[in-house]
Formats: sequence, structure tokens, C-alpha cells
Amino acid sequence: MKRLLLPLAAALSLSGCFVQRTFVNRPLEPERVQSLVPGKTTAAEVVQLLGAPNEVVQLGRRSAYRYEHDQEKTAGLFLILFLMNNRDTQSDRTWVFFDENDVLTHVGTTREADTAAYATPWSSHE
Amino acid sequence: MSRGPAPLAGALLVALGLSTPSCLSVTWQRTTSQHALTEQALANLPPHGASLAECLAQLGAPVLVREHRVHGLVLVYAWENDRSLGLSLSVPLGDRSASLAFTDARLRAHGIALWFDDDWTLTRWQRGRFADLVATTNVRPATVEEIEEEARVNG
Repeated sequence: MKRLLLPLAAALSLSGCFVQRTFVNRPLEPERVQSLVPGKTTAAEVVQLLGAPNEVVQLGRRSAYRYEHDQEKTAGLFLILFLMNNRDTQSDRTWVFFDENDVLTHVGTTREADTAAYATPWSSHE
Repeated sequence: MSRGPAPLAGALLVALGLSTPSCLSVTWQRTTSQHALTEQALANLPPHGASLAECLAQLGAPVLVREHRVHGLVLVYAWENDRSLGLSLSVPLGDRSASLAFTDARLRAHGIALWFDDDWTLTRWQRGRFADLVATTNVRPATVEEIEEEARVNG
């Protein structure tokens, strides 16, 4: 029994749990996105309002810009070599589409970054 | 006569030794990313009828937007709710280190791709693994010459 005590104590001292939250980019301000007017707002005005996009995609002579803010929440536990965790990543994302004259035609928005949640490794987010 | 340490104590000591320099770890991870699109969300978006504006209003912002046949486009929605097992190994080599990591989580993300024609009207959609959809939709954007040729052919 005594032979087990030292390894057991070492194993217990090297175990633990943690929570971690990670953000990618600053949150998109909904008022700024809502102020975009298809048929009127230009690409230059969008960049002035929202800043540099995360991605620019060519669509023939037209184009689309992506703006994204991610929130990731991770909870986990570790025991020496073994790590268990549960990671949930949700995003605020906006795509703006422009015609060949760089005038806004469409806006698509998803706001779910705030729904990211912590959960134990053995539970589901659904 | 000594019989040596018990098997369990030996195993714990070996594990402790390996973990001290953090050279080997096994990770069991549950990953959730974005929310899955439901059949109900797609039900109101008939191919050859729904516009890009209707799709964006119904489904929100996609993960990817890609050019399709010069003037068309593809929207890709993706999500993940999966469990994966990973293994990582790192070996210190003086002032450098070598590492190896394996996980299959990325391959199991799911998604839906929606194709739009030149007028940005929905033509079809397809469910599949995210990696397969990206492989299908990730094509080189058209060159200036190809765009002009397309415009000349279509008047």
C-alpha cells in the first residue's frame, strides 16, 4: 500500500481542471451593420464604417467582404497524460456583397458569438 | 526477497516520467462549432426560385463565399458537433523542439453548399462533409481575360 502512495499523490497533484475563453477580432457593432443600405452604401463607406475585412472574395466583376468575430469557450480537466475538454466556438459574422461598381447589394448577418457556452467534457451543447 | 513495485505503481511512475517534460499527451475533445442548419430552414428555399437575399435572410451569414463559373457564387454553411481523440508528441532538441500532433476532428465537420447562377438565384444545394464541400468549391477565381470572354459570349 505504501508503494502506491507516492505515485498516487503525484498523480493527484498533477491533475486539475480549467476554463478558457478566447476571442478573435473585436465584436461587430450591430448598429453599424444595420446602417448599411443596399443600393446606396459603397465599399469605401463599408470599410470606413466596419474597418478592414477579414476576407475579400472576387465574384467575377463583383465582390464580397467577410467580417467576423469569434468567441470560444473551453472547459476541461487533465490527469497526467490525459486531457479531456469541451470546446464551443460561435461567431458573429457579416458578409457584404458589392456589384461591379462597388455598391452594396446584399448583407448577410449571423450573431451567435454570445451563445458560446462552457460545458463539461461529457455533456453536449445540444 | 523484494518483488519490485506493483504494476499500477510502475505504470503511474512511467506516466509521471513522460508527463514531466510534457512530451506526450492524449486528448479527448468534444467540439461544437456554429449551429447546424435544419431541413426546415431550407424548406422555404426552392432551387430555381430563391434569391440570394432570401437565402441570407433565412440562413444568416455563411462560413464561406466562393466564385462559381465566373459570375455565379457558392455559399457554404458549416457546423460541428463531434468528439475526437488526439495525440501529440513533442521532443526537445537542444534549443529547438520537434512535435507531432494528430486529430481527425476537422474532417468530420458537416455543411451545406448552395450554388447560385449569374443572377444570384439559387440553383441547387448539397449536404456533405465540410472538407468535401470546400474541395468542391475552392477553385481559382476567374482571370480578367476569362471575365471579359464570359461577358463577350453572353453579350
